[in-house]
Amino acid sequence: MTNHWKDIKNADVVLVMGANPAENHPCGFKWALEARNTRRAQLVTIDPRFTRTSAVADEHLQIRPGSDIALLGGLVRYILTNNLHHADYVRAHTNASFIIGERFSFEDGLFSGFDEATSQYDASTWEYDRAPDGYVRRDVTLEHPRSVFQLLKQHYDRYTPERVAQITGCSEEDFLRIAKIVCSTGTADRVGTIMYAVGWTMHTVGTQIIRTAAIVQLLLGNIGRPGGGINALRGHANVQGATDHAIVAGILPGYLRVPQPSQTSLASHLEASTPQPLVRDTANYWGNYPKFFVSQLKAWFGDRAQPDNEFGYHYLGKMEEDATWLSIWDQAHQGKLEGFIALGFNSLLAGPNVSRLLEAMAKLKWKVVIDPFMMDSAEFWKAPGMKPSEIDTEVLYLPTTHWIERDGSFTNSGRWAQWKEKAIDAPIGVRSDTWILSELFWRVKELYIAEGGAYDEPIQSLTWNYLNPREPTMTELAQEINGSDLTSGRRLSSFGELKEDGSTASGNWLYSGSYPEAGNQMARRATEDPTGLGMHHGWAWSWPLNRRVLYNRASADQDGAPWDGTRSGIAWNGREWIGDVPDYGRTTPPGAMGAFIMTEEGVARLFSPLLKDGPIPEHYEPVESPTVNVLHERVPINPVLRWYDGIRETLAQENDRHAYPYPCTIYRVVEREHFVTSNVPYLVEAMPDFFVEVPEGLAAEKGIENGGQVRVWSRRGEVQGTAIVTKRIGPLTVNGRTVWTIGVPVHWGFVGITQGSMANELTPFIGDANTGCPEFKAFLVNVEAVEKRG
Amino acid sequence: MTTEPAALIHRFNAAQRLIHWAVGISFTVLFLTGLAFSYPSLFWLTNLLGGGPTARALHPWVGLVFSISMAATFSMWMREMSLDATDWHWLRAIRAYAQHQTADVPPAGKYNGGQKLFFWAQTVLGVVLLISGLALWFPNTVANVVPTASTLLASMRLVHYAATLAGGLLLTMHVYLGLFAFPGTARGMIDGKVTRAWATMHHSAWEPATDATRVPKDDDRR
Amino acid sequence: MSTLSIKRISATASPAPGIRSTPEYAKLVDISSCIGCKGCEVACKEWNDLKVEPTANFGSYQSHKDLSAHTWLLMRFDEVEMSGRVQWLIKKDACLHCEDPGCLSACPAPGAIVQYENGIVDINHEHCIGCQFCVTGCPFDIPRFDKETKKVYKCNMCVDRVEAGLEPACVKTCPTHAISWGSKEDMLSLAEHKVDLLKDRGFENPVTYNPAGVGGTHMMYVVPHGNHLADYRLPANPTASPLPLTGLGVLKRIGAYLLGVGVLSSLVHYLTIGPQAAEDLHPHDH
Repeated sequence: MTNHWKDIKNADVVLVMGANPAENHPCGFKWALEARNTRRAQLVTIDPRFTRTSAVADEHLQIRPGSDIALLGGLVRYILTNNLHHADYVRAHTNASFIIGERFSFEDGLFSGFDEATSQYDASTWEYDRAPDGYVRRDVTLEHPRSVFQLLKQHYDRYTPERVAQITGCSEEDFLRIAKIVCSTGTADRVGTIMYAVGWTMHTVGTQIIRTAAIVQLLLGNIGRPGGGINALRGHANVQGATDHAIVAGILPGYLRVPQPSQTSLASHLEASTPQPLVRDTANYWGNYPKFFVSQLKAWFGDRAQPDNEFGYHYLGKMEEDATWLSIWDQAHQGKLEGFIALGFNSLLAGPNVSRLLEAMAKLKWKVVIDPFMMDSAEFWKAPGMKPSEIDTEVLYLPTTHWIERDGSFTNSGRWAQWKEKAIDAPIGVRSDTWILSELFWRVKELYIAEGGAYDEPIQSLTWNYLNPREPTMTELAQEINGSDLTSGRRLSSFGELKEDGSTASGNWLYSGSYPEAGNQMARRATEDPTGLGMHHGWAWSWPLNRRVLYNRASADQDGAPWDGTRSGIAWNGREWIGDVPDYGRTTPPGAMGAFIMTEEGVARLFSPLLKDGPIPEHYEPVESPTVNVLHERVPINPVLRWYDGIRETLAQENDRHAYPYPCTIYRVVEREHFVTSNVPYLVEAMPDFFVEVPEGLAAEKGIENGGQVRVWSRRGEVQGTAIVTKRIGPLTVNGRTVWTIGVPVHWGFVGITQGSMANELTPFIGDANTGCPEFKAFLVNVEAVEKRG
Repeated sequence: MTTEPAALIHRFNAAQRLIHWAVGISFTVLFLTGLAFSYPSLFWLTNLLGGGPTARALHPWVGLVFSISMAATFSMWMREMSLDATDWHWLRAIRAYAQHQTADVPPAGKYNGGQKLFFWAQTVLGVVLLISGLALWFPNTVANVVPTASTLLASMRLVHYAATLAGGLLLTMHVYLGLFAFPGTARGMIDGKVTRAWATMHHSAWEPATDATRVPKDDDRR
Repeated sequence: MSTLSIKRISATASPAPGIRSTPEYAKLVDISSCIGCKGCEVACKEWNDLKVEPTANFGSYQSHKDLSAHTWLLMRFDEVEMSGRVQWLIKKDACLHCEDPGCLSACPAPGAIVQYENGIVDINHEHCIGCQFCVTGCPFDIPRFDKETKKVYKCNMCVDRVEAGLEPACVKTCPTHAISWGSKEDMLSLAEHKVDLLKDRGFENPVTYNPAGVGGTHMMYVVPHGNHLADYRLPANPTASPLPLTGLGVLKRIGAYLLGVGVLSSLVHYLTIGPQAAEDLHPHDH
């Protein structure tokens, strides 16, 4: 989240899209209702289904799964053609005025620089036009034909309401009704927020969907303002914390980069990872990358990290292969992966194409599952259709403590790190994660000591200075993450204190200041709210620096006056910024530098050359789609996807559309939390069985009865469950044809109190071009009524 | 009829007597527990049947016994209980009968008009109690069948109560007449015999086939 | 809860023992803010330690088809179309704790159902005789009979929590504050506020559901579409004393007289006219 949960109460318009917070974030969702109830904010849902969120919303718009960019692109056009953008904001705080180089173009679905052979873009064609001084040329009138503003206008000119309706399946009138509401916040006195979740990220164009939303919000001037922002709702209590600490492949804690093989020295890694300013007036805060990186190496390797060994840079593994989810399991499927340690998730049910995943798992030599509950992924060899006698994988299950049985912190979607205390004791014999991982470390280290072995330095050099080195406490770890001055031993109060000379250590620069000498800031529980906007600076601690709204400099105009005095993020009082912790120098005068201090542009990017699949988001169909891409038939899908061997054959082809006519989407229900709750009797009672949501009209066509059994199948697998025949999914008219959408929940497997079909039997083994996040949200299936099994 | 007035004649056979008491006892139990359920101040009566929950649990089962006994009663007496002109004559003189002005009371057969009416009344009430009782015994079944079950069930309570009240009043009369007002009557339901004099007084048109010195046979019923 | 707080008590001729003056509480369910998460349903089961019932999906998001002796609170889900727009009506179904409780007046067992000064209507199971008259007496179809214990069960508004100064478990757990808790007076004005808000938001017929036929309730609803009460499975005109039961009450009084008169007149007859033995009539025949 750029903002935070409670801030949603400050919005005038709440757009929920790619998310279903009533279902998946019921506690945080209260703030959307608070906005609705106290500010008369309008709550709008855009979703393939009328959800529990829609049930309390003012407006709902049904669209086809995977057509989000078309819809959002339509909003961008609606804003620009009707002049609804927040002109002052756009001019001051975005790169609308930046001129793009002449090599940039977009034609027939492809941006410039596309290489047919590698299916990759050469992003150098998307670069800014530079003046002789090396800085980017700008045109503040926004009239220049190659200004970002004009390019944006031109690009989205194709996204007319007719086109939007044709692609998404909604009606033009409905689109315009929703557009009018959502685009009503492009003024100083109105703010709108967007709540999204994995309904956006889990697509082959996931990153670009979010980019489109960011463009909408930037045009409306809603980023950085209380009540605004673009807010990712995280799917578990601590997904944000896990991400901050590098659960995602390709990053180190604090979003530092994993070294590439080409970066043979610390200097080359730092040079490649440290951005250079593109304009004169940018803080370019990522310019501090070396301080963060070296301090991290110091935290990990301590005294063994010295200038003469490049602070232990060579102890870090270099990333030769992509290690995102699909790549890992593709390697496993090829028999190239020996073992797999799964900690804290159900690896079998969490990935797409379960049948393929099962084949891959059966090729592992060993698999370790560390979890409070026995689960499907530990018993994958017992899955329906598997022959245990033919599987050689050795599976080790290590029961570990549940989060309720240990201290620690959760970082919520709003970046608030909140300390929690153990509520109950673990069952006898159950060990904590820290015990298990420490033990793993020590036993490997002891083996190295006893027997020697190749490349032992990283393990031998790792610092492990804990009171009980076999089980560090969470407090010790939190303090280590916060970091300290190695000369004085004093814990740091801010990442501003980090140095690149090796005199400071910090496990994660973003969390510097969370546990300073003053104590554990995450455990604070003061409820005062002097801002009146729900910022609660004395409650817990949010990264960075206890800042509650990111980019809050943009909540004020060029002179530092808040766009809306009643919802002031920060304000310049002549000497310093007051309000939230400023995302800017506390005493830096308003005009001194750009509002977006993290970018080398100093402003927010409407046009971004950093993504793999284009600088301006474009609508591409899901890899399985019921229609051609009406914008460019020759480039129907994202052209730069990574295709693993044998995957194209597992997709419904264009000529299969009659065999798999229905778009299907996967989701959770509020009664269950992924798979762990299949162990909780009361929750199983509340939502017992796997089900399939079938639109009423389709059910009538197919002879499917409410409560009867249905089979749903894709090219990859099938599921069977109880039909919920519903009015909440209507027919869509996509490109002139009637299209019905099917919905399937994800929570069932073959281990737990109740068993049911695994939704991911259906999903395709393909991911987002940038993140590799699998496509769980839009694919094709067929459906029929069947007799009850067994 | 020249035998001694004090001589005994047979009035009810053993089966009739058993059934009578089955009806009588079961109804009394039902009536008393029913009173307990209807009047808080009489709730203590449930203690006769083991307390509230037990009384409530037994009440419908006793009701079943009552209903079966009633059915037997009906089949045993049905043919003898049709009212004819004589009975209506008798009924018109009921006030005289109550005031013991025997001379003004037309002769009755084995059963007088009052008894016959009593029979039919209790038959009707029995059916009403059975139907309403069953509904109250199985409210969920009713609710599954009828959409507005609660109104129906409330009505059934009303009906059940009304029938019980009527039955209770009849019972009071029956007990008073049988035990107190006309000595010698009750004996008919104890050993099955009545005196010739009693028969002459109450049922002068009754011509019993035998006297009690003989072993009763089935056709004793006339 | 203490007997000092009992305001009404079933099947008891003497006055109820309550002499305490405690505030009258109420729960307000704002249907327009309810997301149907079933948090309250589960919290109810957890707090009251109600056992898990085997459920099966029957073509709905609703967990159980109906309330039961072990499920005192059920989220009901109904899809309807109103003026061309799909509505997903999600309603918390549980005891409304009527001011004039039909269950209590229908109950024949002394002390089996009581109403406390604070408005909570509770069943004392040691006194319940299992007749299910309360089931029939309830205009909202709430109490449920358990075949094993032969007693009737329903929401008791977490009377143990309330007595200890806490809100009921469902209120505590509600993540969207769709359920509010406070004095009846406060809840009524909150309801009024919420109804105004709904009107502001363009709802044409929002109402507070606090039906007069049962003297008002201690669980009230804010219903966004008050002209569609039946779709929410709320009776438009519930009454604590339906005609048959009013009739029964009258008849019982008459019945008591009649029975008394019956017995008395027998006695009078016996004393004035007296018995008549057959032998007395025919002494001269000897």
